[in-house]
Amino acid sequence: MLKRPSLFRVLSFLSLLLLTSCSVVKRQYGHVEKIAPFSPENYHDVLTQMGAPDSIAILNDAFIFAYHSVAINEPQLGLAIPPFDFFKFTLGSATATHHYHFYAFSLQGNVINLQKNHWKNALGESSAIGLVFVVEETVDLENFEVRRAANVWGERLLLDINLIEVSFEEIVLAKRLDLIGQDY
Amino acid sequence: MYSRIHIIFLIFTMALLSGCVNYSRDSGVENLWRQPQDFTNGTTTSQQVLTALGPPSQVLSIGKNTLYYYLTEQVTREGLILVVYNETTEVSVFDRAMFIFDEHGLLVDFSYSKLPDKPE
Repeated sequence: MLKRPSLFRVLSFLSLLLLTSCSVVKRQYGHVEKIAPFSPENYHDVLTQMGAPDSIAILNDAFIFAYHSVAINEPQLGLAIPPFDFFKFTLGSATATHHYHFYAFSLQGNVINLQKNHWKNALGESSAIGLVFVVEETVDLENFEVRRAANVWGERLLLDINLIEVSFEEIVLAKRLDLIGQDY
Repeated sequence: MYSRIHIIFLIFTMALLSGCVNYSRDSGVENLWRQPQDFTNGTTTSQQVLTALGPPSQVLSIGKNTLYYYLTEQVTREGLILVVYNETTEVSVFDRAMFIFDEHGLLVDFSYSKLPDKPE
């Protein structure tokens, strides 16, 4: 007498039949040095410990150094599309881990304020259809792929002063954190 | 349902389709500061830094001081494609140097970014 397969066995068999691949997409933007806690008195101490900052902003009576790194991890599950041998349906989700250090100084170079933070945030879940031998990215990471502000500084200076979104003075004097170095 | 030949062909094809992916690109200025340089606070001038490193990516004014900021972006991507298991890793390194000069053009302080030993 034949034994009837359990529902669990049937589902396991179907899962094995459909499961074509597992993928992991990793991205790393920038690097923040891991150091023991320290109490800087001026910007010289910060430069010695942390190196050159990612971003610099200059205000009327202060300037700011910011250090920021982002690590993105995107695990994916690929499922077969039965009639199409070379295509798969991919499900993925991405998580970003941030490290951020912020130091504010007076124009004389003394520390006014400092803060550091470490956090994670979900970048979303999505799906894609693609070839079985290609790793498709399922989550939109376009925000992380912008050109670095420092590398377009010269171009921004050549823009028509009547058409630019931010003032010429802001570009030249870096009065916004996203106008020098790197922006996320 | 799949025939036996169909399944064997599929497994054989998938086994052949494994491979590696690798690319890299650079943008920004050339990171000449990683070569041996002789910069000294209080004596090196802004002209000497310009001669050694070329034009900076960005120039800023901090009070009476002037800041030269150099940036090189290096992106590398490596991938292992085994069809059943795939992994790709992209690392963007922002190699930076900054130099602060006083109103006389003498170097007050300078620093390079700390580079990672390996991907985090």
